[in-house]
Amino acid sequence: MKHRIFEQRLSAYVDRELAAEQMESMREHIEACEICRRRLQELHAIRNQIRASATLTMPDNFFYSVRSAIRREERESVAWLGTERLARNVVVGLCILVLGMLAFESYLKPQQSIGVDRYFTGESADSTAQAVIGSQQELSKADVLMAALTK
Amino acid sequence: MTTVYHQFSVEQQPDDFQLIEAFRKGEEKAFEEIVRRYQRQVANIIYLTLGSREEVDDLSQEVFVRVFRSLERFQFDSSLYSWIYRIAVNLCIDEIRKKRIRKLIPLEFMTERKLEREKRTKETTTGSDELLQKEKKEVIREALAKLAPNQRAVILLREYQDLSYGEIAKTLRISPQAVKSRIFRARQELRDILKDYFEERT
Repeated sequence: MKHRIFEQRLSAYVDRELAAEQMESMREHIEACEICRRRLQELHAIRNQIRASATLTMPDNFFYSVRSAIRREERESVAWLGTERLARNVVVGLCILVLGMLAFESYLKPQQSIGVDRYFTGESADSTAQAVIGSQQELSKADVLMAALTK
Repeated sequence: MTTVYHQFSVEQQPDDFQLIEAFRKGEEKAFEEIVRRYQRQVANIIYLTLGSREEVDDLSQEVFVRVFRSLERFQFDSSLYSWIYRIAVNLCIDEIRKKRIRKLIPLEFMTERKLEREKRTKETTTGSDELLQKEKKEVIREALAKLAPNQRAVILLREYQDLSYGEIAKTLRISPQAVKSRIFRARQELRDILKDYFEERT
């Protein structure tokens, strides 16, 4: 087998992630190959250096700082829940108010009259009255007033 | 009342799953043991992934706050440590994206290195073992900082945490094949970066 293939397998070999027979053929190749032996040493050196550079230790009281952070977060979340509930109530209240105002406004608004539309388009009173009667709609005050004034 | 956690003597430490069970029964001591068991590894993963000491304390704290919040929902479909490392690695990658820390890392290491050299020139005896060891650690941290964040995470889980490809795949939710090729590429890059260092050694 070509040297290049063995070289590409070195990474998985050093991690013991090759199939058993590939591990074995790799071992045999390394014994005979100076370049692969050197590469293998480099891979081990990188591993050792990474492990040696992980030098941080945490202070004994680290757990207490985690616990304080959790408690602080819980307090904030309770406070936020209170604010959220208040905000939700305000929004619901505002919606009810707006809907109420719209309903009240539509109650007060006079019924749109067909006669008024025709008056503004410049049509005569007779045709207005006929149109009103012909439409078979209920006559509004404005229709009656318009018919009386323009007759 | 005998608690689940206190049923174990000092010699017979509870395993991770027993600790989770105890935590779910409301024993704070069990969570404390989980933190103490993994705080060092978490801190070092963060340290080597970010390449900076500065934010290690805050981010380590954040990792365990998230562990605390999510432990109730832990599914036992992976080991506790790979689950904790996943939280740590994801937090680091978010942090790198957020602050584009990668650009800043070489600056910090260069400053550290410069200070080290200055210190060394002041020393009357040059090349003491201690200084050489410090220099080596600095070289490897600097090299790691030059890798792409996802390569850095994979190589650290492999080399520092000694996780198998299968465990790394579960931890990072990628395929074992992707783990294998990322590790291969990360090692190639590290080798290129450290070429001078290796040539000096031989």
